[in-house]
Amino acid sequence: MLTLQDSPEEAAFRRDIRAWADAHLPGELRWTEDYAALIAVDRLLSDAGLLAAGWPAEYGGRGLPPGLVFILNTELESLGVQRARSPSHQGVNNLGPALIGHGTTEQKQRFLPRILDVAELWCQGFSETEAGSDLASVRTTARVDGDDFVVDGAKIWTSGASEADWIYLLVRTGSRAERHRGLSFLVAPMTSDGIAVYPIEQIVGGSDFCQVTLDGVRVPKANLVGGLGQGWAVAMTLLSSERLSGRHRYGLFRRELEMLARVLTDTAGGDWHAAGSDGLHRLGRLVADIEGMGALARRTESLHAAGQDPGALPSVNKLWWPAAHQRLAEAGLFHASSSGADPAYWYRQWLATRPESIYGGTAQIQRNIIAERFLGLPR
Amino acid sequence: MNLEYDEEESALLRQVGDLLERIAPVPASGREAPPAVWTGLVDAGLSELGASVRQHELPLPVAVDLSRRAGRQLLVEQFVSSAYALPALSAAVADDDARRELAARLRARPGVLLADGGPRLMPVVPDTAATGRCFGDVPRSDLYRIVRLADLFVLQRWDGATPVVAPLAQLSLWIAAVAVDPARGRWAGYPLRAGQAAVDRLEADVLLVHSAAMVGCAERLLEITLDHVRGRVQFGAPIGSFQAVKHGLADVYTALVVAWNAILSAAAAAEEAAAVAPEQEIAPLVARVLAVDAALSAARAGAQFHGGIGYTAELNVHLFLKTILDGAQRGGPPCDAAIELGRRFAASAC
Repeated sequence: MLTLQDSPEEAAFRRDIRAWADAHLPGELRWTEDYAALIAVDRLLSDAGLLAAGWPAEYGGRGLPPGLVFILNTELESLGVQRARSPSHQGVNNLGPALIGHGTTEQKQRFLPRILDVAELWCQGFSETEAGSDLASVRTTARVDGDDFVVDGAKIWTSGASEADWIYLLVRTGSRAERHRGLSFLVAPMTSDGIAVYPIEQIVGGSDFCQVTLDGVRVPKANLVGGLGQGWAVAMTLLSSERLSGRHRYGLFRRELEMLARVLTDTAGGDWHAAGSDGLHRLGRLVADIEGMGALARRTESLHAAGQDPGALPSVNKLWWPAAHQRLAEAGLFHASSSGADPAYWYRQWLATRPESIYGGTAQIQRNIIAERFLGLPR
Repeated sequence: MNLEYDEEESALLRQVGDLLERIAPVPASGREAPPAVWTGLVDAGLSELGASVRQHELPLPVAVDLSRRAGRQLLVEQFVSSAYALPALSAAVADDDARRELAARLRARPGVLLADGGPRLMPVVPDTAATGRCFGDVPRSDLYRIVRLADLFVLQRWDGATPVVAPLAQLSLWIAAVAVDPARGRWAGYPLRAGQAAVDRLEADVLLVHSAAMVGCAERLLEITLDHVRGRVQFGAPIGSFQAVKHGLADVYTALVVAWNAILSAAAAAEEAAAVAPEQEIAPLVARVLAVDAALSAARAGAQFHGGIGYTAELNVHLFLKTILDGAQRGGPPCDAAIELGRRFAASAC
């Protein structure tokens, strides 16, 4: 029977999460964007065994089933813990699952505990100036020299590179003609000789993402993940985790919808009954968009829990939520701006939501995937 | 949480889908709506879906998928009015004999409800109402209306001279202006054992069932459009290989997937939402807004990507365009649902 209700176990878990947040998560750490505070949140989650609760117990997780992980993430998000902003995000959500799926025993033992303890932060070295959406055309090379690979090239759009301790890299170990079959996956410390980080100023201020140059960087062969020439498979495992991660941001989007509703209400002199139909129309459509995202997230989890293939849902999700969030930010900006409310939050969000339809596979790439793999249209 | 049908439900849905394909095959071309299929639906036991849901014999989440499958066969208005809304109302008729008599009438001949152009799919109209827009297989249906007499809701059937029926723009398949002459007949009444809350609950369910049929209809149109763009060659390549076409259809697919999952979530929630007053629920309106949007996007893309041939009666594309266009008008213009959704959200958030 179809049901949205929690099982007794799920309801108890939900209560536990809320109780933990009440007891351990102070108000100043909720909805924070301050880096030190975000690290503090990660440590609190780590201490409570909640940072990577979906990882198998043998790797330090709690081995929670997908349904409970979904409850954990959506509850945390609604309580002001923005997992997408977590400094541990790359390690916990992206590299961790890739290592668990493709890494050697030694690699798992070396890296996973330090991700869990927030002792080592990771960044992603995938994109290059000539390899954005076309990831298979990566040019950064790794040639074998004794017991090491020697890596030369440059990566770009590397979020958190200034703070990260380690980087995972997609590098070319075969010829360019081999495309994705000539790629391998390496991990390297950011302190390696030959690695330089160049912060890139962003349109919202700050320089969260960077260019990382690799000049004769020696990486031990032991740091090859998934075998020589198997980098594409590792990267795809990683990207499939990344594509699904946005669905947990429902809590933030609901909060922003409520902010927009208050802007409309304030514009109408504090009485939402008096809010104009144009504003209510726009709000209603945005509520539908965001609730539609919630419905997608629930269905994805339901399929996951039932052991069924989610099919096109990850791409549908990645195409849907960024566009919905961008529309929400735009509505917030113009309603706040025209009503005399402070539009600063929304102004920043309009800009800050731009990359959402770019990272993790652009909207155009998602459309290609849907059209070619699921609608059977020719390449 | 579980949003997957069990094996028994899946088997039933497949079986009914196959049955509907046989009872109401979609014509490959032609100007007319598909032929009357009511008898086939009655014989197949599909004519009293609304009563089954109301009597808890069939879960609403299963009913919405049945309706989605009916929509694939262009059975949107007729299915929702005659197989869902009116049987659900008939199950609420207070008097046992009258209930049985009405159920028999509904099996014999489909019905349509007099509508007022407002935001409800099952509007309560004044007891003076003699004209209105009706949605369904109007010329072949009996005419019903819902009125409120003091605190009592009454379903009434027109018992008199044949109403005047005028299809919208002489083109619509499923919308017609209807007028009866009050001097040449009477409204036969069936008082309902249902208060405002029960009527609101029914309205919310019908909204979901109708939205599901719209999604089903649009999904079939998308499949037809995909077939066309895979086969139509221009500039030496199938037009479906061009990104403008691919991306347009990927967007339609995405909107339909989101809408269907919103319907599924809302139907599951409705089964469990006893504590929430229907007039405060947002899930059925979310599903409505998304379903109408998605269906209209499928209609626009279907017309555009078929090119000139889609503008002719040589293909069946126009039957889908008109069915979607007609369905999108049910319950007032689509923006009304979004405005009401915004209002409910603002009321809860502020």
